[in-house]
Amino acid sequence: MATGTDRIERYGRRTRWLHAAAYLTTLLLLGTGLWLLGGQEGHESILARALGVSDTRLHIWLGWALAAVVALGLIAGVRAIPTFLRESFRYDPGDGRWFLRWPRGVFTGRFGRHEGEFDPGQRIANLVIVAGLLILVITGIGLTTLHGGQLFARLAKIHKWTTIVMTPVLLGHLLIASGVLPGYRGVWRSMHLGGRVREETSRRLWPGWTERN
Amino acid sequence: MRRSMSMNTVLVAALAFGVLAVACANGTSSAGGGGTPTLTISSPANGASVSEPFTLKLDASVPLGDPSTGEDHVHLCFDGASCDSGNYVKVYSDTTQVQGLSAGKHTIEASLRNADHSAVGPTTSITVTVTGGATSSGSPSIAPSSPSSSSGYGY
Repeated sequence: MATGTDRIERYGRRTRWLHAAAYLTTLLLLGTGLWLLGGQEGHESILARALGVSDTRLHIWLGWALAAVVALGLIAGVRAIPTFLRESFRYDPGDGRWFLRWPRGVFTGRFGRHEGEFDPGQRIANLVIVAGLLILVITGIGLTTLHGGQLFARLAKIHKWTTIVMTPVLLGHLLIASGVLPGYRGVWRSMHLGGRVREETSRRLWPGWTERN
Repeated sequence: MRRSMSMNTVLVAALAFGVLAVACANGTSSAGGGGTPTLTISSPANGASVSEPFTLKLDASVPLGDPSTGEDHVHLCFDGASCDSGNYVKVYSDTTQVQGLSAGKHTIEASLRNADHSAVGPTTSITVTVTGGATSSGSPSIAPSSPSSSSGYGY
């Protein structure tokens, strides 16, 4: 009989490594991008000085790295995409109540029940983050290919405003995924150190999925 | 169940190669027809003595503007610093006021840049002697009242 201390594999190795590659490049892109957006272009950042390249060149290289990670993810994870999309677009009766109980659940761990592989908040974050990253990668490729001109100007605006929208979403995702909030304690292990979470953690955050697995 | 790893591996390798090929191809400028752009510093003259702040006038064969408009602009770098990496000043019009240089001889290089800050190609440089320059060891900059001053990235 499973006890609360038994562990359940939440994400496999391929997913975890892909996720790590994506978030490392994304965090560096966010850092260099916000440095540039803040008017610091021409004033070398610590990273640019250490590597001996301009912040703009660094941002472009990291962008290509993220594009490669995204391409790799789409190919290597092609069979998982339908499930990811189905589970992220999912809406079940009671999901609205989950949102109402969420503020208390963040501190007490007593979230509303949901049946999904992802909780209702996670589903929204999935869609916003994936769509946002795709827009950033595609507009970024356009910017580095065009170099200038009217279309460049339009793409730059989309790229900038997508960054502005994505930044708080990513920071929120980081906060929750880190597990520092009491209700989310233990969740960071779902994507690190073997991807195995305690059954108690899994039941607290993904009750329907835990029962099915 | 036997995985079809070999097909996946081939696809991944092909896509990664494609991404790398496109990335490497982006080192070239996208400037189309109409001749090679040119850039000169029309003022101050090479070897001139100037006092701060002084007006620097550029003569570019292409319109200069904020990167958010997609137009070209200029990077000004001083005393051998790189206009690519290192510290440089962005100029979005053909006139700007320079300040923050210490007294003595200085080299000013201007490099024409695409909106994405990659080099268009033309560069030009002059040497000036600053009299009564900045006493602090701050970096050269554009005077705040200059029409080409930029406080943000421009997008």
